[in-house]
Amino acid sequence: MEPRSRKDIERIIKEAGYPSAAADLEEFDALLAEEASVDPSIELPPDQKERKATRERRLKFLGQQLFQKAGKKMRRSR
Amino acid sequence: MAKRRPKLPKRHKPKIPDRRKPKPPKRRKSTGSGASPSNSYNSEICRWKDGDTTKSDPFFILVLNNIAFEKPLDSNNFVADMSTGSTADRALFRDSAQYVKESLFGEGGRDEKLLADSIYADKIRVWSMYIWGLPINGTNSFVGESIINGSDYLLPRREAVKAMLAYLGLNPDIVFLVSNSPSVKYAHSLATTDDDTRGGVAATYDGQTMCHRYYHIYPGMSAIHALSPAIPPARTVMTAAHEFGHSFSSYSNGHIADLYHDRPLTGFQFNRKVGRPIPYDFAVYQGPTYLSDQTRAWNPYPPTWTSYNPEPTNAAQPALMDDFPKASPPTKSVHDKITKAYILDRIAAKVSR
Repeated sequence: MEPRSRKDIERIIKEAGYPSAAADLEEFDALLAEEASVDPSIELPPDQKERKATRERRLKFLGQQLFQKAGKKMRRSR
Repeated sequence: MAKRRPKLPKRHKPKIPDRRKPKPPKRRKSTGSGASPSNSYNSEICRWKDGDTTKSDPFFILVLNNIAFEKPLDSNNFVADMSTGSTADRALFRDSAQYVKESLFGEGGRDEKLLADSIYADKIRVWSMYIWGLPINGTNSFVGESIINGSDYLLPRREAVKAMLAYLGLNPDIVFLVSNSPSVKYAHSLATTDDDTRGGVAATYDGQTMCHRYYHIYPGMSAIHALSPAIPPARTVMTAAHEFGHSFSSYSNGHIADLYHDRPLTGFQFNRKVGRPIPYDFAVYQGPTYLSDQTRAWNPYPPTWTSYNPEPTNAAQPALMDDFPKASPPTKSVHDKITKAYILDRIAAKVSR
């Protein structure tokens, strides 16, 4: 997973516009990396399945917080 | 009557220098059955390196264009990506494929020679294939945007890629999927799912047996952005080499993880551990003991972190699996010692099958 540039991090935080956006973005990216470290093709044991479901819910939640506004602005600017 | 000025000869754009031109591309038109039974397609193949031609299945890296982009993943919203077949689109793809090859073989002044450091470098096949003429749909979508619109990460669509490879009659070990999405630019990878029912070369890691497998069930996949004026080249000069670290690694026999996040361990991560205090030794791999990176000198571990990394080769710069664009310049970023040993061993296994 390619690290985001500082410029993009600053832009996302600014556009998200809430105090914990920096921490949320860090958590979002770390969860994305964690998600990629689990083989999508294997049947997970129940505890890991639960962890995966929790991770996916959290990713979606953080994604909505962080990118809904930022995404709209970015589309307008391109 | 005013004299007409003589017409000046038309200005031609300077020709692309020869070094950018691989062997003349071979184009073919195919009608196939399989992934897209009713569709024929055109393809342009560049054979950057033929590798071991004495084998029917040499270690094989393929660069493929993305035809349709799913935005975001699982939305069923497919848009055209890089499949017009125009001269410009094909040239952009060829440049991107060349960049992948150069990044993987440490050309162009990169310190990390990666595949070129293997004694089996000449046995590695690197091809690129640009396909066009197929419809924009889920079958032909190999890359999507991860999780949600705006996340900015490209992610391979494994099942679609596997089906397309079967349709094309190719079985690469690693696939680089090139997207020219106007709104999503960061690369992301999925590791290889090894075929653990077949052979390989046994190795030991912290006293446990692991295996560098000969074959895979799913090839490793990296989704990367086409070379684009919007993305500064200095930043991405090592991106393909970094992503190769992920995609060439194995979910069951050692996953090469990013070193710039602090998360709990999931599965067998080869190059990252968790705990405090940081032990002196990182791991014992194939006999030698590899040390831990006690300080992460280029950018010390944040105080809240519990992850730690293996000993770097160049402590003054971030390792290639760490935040490599922050190396100064990024071409100075190289793999840490244990990750490099893992990659070279895995290449040796693949070429010996």
